[in-house]
Amino acid sequence: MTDAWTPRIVVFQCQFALFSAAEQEWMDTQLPPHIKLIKVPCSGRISPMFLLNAIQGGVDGVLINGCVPGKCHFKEGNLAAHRRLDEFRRLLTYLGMEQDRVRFAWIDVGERGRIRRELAGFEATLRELGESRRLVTRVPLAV
Amino acid sequence: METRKVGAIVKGRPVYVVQKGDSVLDAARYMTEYGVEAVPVLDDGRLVGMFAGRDLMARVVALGLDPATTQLGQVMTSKVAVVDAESDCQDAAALMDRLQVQHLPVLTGRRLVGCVSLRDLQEVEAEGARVEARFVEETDTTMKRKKMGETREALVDRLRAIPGGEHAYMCYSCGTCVGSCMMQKVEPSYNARRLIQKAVRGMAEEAFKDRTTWLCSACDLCYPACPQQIHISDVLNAVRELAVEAGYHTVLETAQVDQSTCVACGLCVAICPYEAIELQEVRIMGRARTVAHVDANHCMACGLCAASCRSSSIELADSFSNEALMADLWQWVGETQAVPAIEVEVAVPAHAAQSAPVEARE
Repeated sequence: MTDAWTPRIVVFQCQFALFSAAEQEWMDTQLPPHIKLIKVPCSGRISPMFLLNAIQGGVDGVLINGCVPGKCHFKEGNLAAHRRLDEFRRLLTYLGMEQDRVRFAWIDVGERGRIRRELAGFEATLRELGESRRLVTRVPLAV
Repeated sequence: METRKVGAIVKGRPVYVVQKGDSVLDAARYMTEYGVEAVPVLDDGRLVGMFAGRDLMARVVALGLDPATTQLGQVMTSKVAVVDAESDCQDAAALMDRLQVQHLPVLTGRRLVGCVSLRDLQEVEAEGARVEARFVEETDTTMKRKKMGETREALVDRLRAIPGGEHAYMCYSCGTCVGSCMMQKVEPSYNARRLIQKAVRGMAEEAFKDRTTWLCSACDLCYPACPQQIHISDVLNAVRELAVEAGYHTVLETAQVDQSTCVACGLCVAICPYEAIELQEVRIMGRARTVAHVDANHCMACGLCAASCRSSSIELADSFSNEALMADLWQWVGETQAVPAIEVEVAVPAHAAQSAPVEARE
């Protein structure tokens, strides 16, 4: 592993999670190339298969960005996402991977600037964890 | 329409007359001075004829008579039709039409009170038509207003009859709900305050067409903010129900079920926050099967069902479908592949071992 290595991160983002328009624009247009933003209507839209796809594609970490519990635009989508994806995290341990490769960032309306801190913190964590090679496949999964 | 009397037209007008013994020249000057085209001719106070521009032309000028010496009695039209002041204008016009004249002396009893022309009668008729048109227009507007009032009453009553819709009237349009709504982020035209006012004012069509009607996802962030404690999502939901009743459809791209792969496990039914999915028995290829069915007018296209489905049988349309999201992901994965791909051993079947080498699937 060299210093030049940067972890690849996929961010699944609820389209309502960032209330600040400036921040959303930064996410939309100015993310560094090693971070991929995928917007979904609600964090509840994120299927565990999406995460599996990402990990098998060689992505080093997945950040789930949703709204804080109780403030979901679709009533309880973020709770459903949390139930479902937390289960998937535990499955990662079973598969011999680190749970920390999947991280949640439940962001409230007032928490401006938090998404950048989350991304920076996550990147640091992933640098410690190193490359994620265990489940890498070259063929896109069927969804 | 009320018919007007001939007497009403001539009333108040000066009566222009000439005497039988006057010269044609005097009469012509008199008529020119007062701007009349025809005058009754009197003889000793009695009506004896009419003298019109037509008479001047045909019986004086055309025959080469000297206007200064010719007396009116020689050239006037002595066979004169008269009309009573109490006659209707329509009757007078019919008479003119029959006799091919354009002026009629008007009498009250035996007294001459004026002279009515065809133009007078035409003006009366035009005025009547205008009055009639205005009347029709006013009646029409009144009817429209009445109808609008009815729509308004009906819409508000129906809105209040639906549980949750009864609070619509309490809204005083402060707009706090709009300020706290997340929908503004993706749909700037979204405005719950405006929609409630449309509904309260009976603007049924405008309310039903408004995207706001269909986009409220009942997250209820506005509910604690509302100073009137209106449960706004309930009001909006009531409007939506009325819209569905009126035959309007959702503007969202809602979830679609692939009936051929759905196994009716019910996971989507359990997870849908809007209870928009139910299991239904349908006939597919002649066989009865139970599959999930999405009520499009209650689906908010959040995608919880799509994420929970084990067989990808329920999907959001286009940009948020599994395929689209994962294609996006894999394209990025391919572009940023920094590490060399690992070797994948492909088991080659014995019968294919001699043929062409197996190409890597990429």
